[in-house]
Amino acid sequence: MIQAFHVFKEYPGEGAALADVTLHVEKAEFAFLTGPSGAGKSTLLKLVFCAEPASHGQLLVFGRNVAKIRPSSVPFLRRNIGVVFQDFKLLPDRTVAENVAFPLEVRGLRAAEVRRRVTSTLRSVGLDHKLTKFPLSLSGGEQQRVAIARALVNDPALLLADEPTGNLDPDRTLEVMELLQAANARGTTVLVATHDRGLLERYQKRVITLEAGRVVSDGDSIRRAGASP
Amino acid sequence: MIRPAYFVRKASEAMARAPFVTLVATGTIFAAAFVTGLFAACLGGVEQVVNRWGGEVQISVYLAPGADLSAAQAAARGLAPGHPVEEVGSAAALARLRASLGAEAAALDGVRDDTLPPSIEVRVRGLAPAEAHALAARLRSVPGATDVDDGGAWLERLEIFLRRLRIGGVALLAALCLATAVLIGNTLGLAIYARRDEIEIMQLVGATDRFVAAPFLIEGLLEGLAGAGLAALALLGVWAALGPVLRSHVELVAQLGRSDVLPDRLLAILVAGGGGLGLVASLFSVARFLRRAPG
Repeated sequence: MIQAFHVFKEYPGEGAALADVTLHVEKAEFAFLTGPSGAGKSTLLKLVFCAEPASHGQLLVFGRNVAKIRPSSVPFLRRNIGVVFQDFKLLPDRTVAENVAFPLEVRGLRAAEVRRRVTSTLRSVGLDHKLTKFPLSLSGGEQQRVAIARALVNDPALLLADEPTGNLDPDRTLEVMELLQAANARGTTVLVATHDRGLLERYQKRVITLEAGRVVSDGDSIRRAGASP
Repeated sequence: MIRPAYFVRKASEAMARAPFVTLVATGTIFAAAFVTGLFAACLGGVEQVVNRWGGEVQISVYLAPGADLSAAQAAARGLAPGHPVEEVGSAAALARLRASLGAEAAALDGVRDDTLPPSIEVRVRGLAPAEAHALAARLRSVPGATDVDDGGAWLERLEIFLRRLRIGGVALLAALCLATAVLIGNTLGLAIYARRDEIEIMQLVGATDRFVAAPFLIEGLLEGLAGAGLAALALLGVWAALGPVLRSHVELVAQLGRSDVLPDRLLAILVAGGGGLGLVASLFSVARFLRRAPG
């Protein structure tokens, strides 16, 4: 699903945000990407959904080398990727339903089909009774569930989550993680960037640890991550 | 499958969500279209007046002494059908000169009746200066004609004046269009910037640049059509209010109708131009934003 070979990302005037990153994430896998702030977690996710190009190396997503992808092809690649952010990135002047409908409208689906899938997806995250509410009238946990619904409404093959529970209390964190696990159980590959060690300990999943832009460990659990220097 | 109705709906919703921006963009195009239309109407009106006024010239065909006046008159009628043709003999010409001199007519005492050449006078009405020029050239073939005075110098001055007026008009229109395009471009640029979060999310979920741009282009087009359409209505209103007053007080414009000053073609060009201007301005604004956006 994701194959990185000696990927570098450098910003002018700064050090390398990513340095010689090589990793593979298989189809239908659930993996955590962890490390301290500035380790390169978000940068790696940005490279995967083509928000930025890699400086060097090869990065294959769905078998396509995104380091050489034409800009006009990026939108079509992104339609297979759902992205969830710590700050939700919801539009405050659109209803919950309108926010979730965005990816479907972009694909040009008919209004009736959009309504059906939006309702169904919001039901799956427990928010079908909030269709006409505006995001700012919802709690943080509810807003993140709306963001997850938006990321999942297209049934993406890959779900990227950048600190999805960073703004949530422990109970809401569990709700969000359950939704991500449910998506993974349906076959979606999930890559979650987090520095919350509690999450890594609770969910025994593959943990890729980055430090100063380098992969310092890649293992099956927090014990492996914790063993890193 | 992308449906145009979807983009029109999105553009309408965006305009309703940001009424101030919509008002500013529409108002800018309205002002530009109104000024442009007003200038074009004035220019058109002046051209009509000048053409009618300038068309009432007298072309004098001077004949050799002893020329056959009747034959010359018949030839002139044939060359200028529909225009009054008058023969003026030598004696009649002298009498006219005496009359024009008034108290100084005594200066002509002793001048023989056949001193002035006989002539044929053709009164030309409803012809543009260039057409009057061409008619004068044809009248040189009148039998016995030695010279033709078509008031050429005056006609040329009139033509130069009209040409300069047109060039000035085109330059003013170009400057107005450019200024309006920049103003609308900046206004729409602000509108696009205000919706950068929406654009970012659209791109995040796989929207192509065309998908992102389409509602903005429709918005520019609708604002352009609305602004220019309102300007066309305002111009018609101004003509309806001022036309009768002008016609009753200024003899020169008494014969001008709405179709002379604000022809349907001008109004159609104005509305289409406003729409085109809005479309082009929004195209540049959204293209500039998308080039800068990280995508």
